[in-house]
Amino acid sequence: MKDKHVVKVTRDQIQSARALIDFAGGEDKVDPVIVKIAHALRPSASQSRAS
Amino acid sequence: MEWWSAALAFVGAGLGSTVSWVVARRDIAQREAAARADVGQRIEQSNLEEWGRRFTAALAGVSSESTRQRALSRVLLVQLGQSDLATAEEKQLVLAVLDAGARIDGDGEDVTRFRAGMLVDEVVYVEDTEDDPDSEGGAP
Repeated sequence: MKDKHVVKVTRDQIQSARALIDFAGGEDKVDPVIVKIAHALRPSASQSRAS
Repeated sequence: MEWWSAALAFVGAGLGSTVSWVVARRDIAQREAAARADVGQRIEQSNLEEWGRRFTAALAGVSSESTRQRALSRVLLVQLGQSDLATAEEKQLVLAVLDAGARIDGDGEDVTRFRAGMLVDEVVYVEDTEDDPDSEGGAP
């Protein structure tokens, strides 16, 4: 069984991550963690994915 | 012999005035070029100062209490950072501010750093919508 750790991020963090990707010139130019934050799931989506 | 000296005096005077005219023209052209360069430098300096004011405002705005101002300041920061006026050092500063903004949550914690010894197979990032009035189940 996989251990899944859920991290909550704010809308500000998501917007900063997206701005950083935009500024850096693409998702491949930033830390993969930043890409994950930029694509943070909405709670409803994460619940349906978890089920 | 007298007409020779008169002719030489005439030619000498003409030559002298021509040379002084050429020198004066060159001097005027140099002054005009210097003035144009000075105006160009002043415009560039003025643009740099205006850029600096906006950059400072954008940096201050990303930590504002207002959600709207934070969002607008981020857009401004990216635009200013992409400007030709931004130095490499300032571009690095924009990257660092946006990187920190993405990692640090409202409590000042870096959400990308996990406790030592914590073993997980997968980390899922989920938007925190508790204070978001637009989210489902939020305040009307």
